[in-house]
Amino acid sequence: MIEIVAATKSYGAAKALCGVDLTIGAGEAFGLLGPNGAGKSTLVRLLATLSRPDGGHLRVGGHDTVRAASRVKRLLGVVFQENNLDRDLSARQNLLFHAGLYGLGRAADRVAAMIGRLGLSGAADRPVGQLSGGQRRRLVIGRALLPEPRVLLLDEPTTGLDPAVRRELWDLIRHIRDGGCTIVLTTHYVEEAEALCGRIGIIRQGRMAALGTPDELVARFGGPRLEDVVVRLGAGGGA
Amino acid sequence: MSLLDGAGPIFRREMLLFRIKLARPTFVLSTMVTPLFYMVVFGLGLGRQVRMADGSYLSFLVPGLMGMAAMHNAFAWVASGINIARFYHRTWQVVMLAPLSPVAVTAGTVAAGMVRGLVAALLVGVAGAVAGWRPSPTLVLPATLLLETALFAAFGMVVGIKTKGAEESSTYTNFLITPMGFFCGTFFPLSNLPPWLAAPMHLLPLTHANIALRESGLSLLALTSLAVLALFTVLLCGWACHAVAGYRE
Repeated sequence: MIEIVAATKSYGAAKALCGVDLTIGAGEAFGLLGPNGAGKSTLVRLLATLSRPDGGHLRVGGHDTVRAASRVKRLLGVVFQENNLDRDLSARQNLLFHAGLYGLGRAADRVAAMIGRLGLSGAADRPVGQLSGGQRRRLVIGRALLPEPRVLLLDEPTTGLDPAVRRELWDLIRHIRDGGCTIVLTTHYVEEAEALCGRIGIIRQGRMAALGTPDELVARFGGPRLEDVVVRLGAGGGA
Repeated sequence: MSLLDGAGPIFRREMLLFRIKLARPTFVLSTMVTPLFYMVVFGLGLGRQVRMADGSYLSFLVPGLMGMAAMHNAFAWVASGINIARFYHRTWQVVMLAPLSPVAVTAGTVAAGMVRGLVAALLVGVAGAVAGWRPSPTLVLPATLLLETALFAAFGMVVGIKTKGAEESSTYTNFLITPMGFFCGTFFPLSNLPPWLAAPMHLLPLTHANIALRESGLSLLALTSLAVLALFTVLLCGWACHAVAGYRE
């Protein structure tokens, strides 16, 4: 479903990605871990077509993210770290706007169903500015799911949320994963990647430092826990 | 999929936000305050001492103030709206991530900027009518305002997308939009300027908007200015489409 070959990206003199190769299968939940500035968000932006690679190529569903950006956008749902919602509009109005952008039929019905699925029925017509942090986060994820994407990119979706809300979002993400949607999740929380992802990549200074299932990574790099492996590799250590 | 698919939702969303703003009493006041100051100071104050060849100074000033308000509001609504959406609310990403054509994004955004500019011009026109100004019953005035708001909304899109923040965006307001308001015939005829300054002013769109807004019928002068405004509109909408197509973060 996702193929990344020798992807490079620089911002001025700073190299954000230095030749990343990665393949993610359809229906897979893939976690991307690494310290701040490692290149996780850059990779998500490249996949989301918001940014162009300097070298290499990225394909989603067989479509190149530069040459066929519009086709790629049809396959994607993207959730960034920020709650990028219109705060003066209600949850329902935000979802209806999104349905309109994607030309979805029976938009009002779809939106009503999504509001129910997100548990926002009681707050659907309140301005987003009046919703709690957890409600906004659920709304952002629900909005990305509205066009029924085949790939969901989640860029640090639970950063800054309290543990109870984070667990609540994990249930939602698990539900999406179990529905067959391909998920790419970047996170700082190792337990989050372990709980939600079958395979994990650890990125450091723009390079993929390690790739495998949590058990494989622990075994290969001598654990004892995945968090220890992530910290060691993130700091520049090896096997 | 049509080139314009998605333009409607963008426009409707902007109108929802505009309606919310309109309901706030401070909005109408802040839109009106600068043109009203100009009308009182230049029109009712200094204007009593000014004699125009073809009527009162107020009948010269009000169409100019309508043109200026239309320009300022169409430009600022779009430019600052996109800036805020890009750097503060991050909602511009939502539009850029949707599978829309650049034409649809431009059409929806420009149409919303036009409404904002037209409402501002209408408010100034109503204030002018209260002060004694009587508009000519002709389609030249609305046609001019439509083209003027479209071209400045499109320019606002370019500035909103290309600039790297509110500070850079305000540079365009301070060094281009505001000077146009003063030197393109809003407050006095261009013939009062020295020729070396008047000549380049004829290259700017607000000059042609002001010329057409003051014409009482579909004269050759009005048609020429409308044609210039139409050309600016096409060029700037094309530039805005190009800016959307090339948008990257």
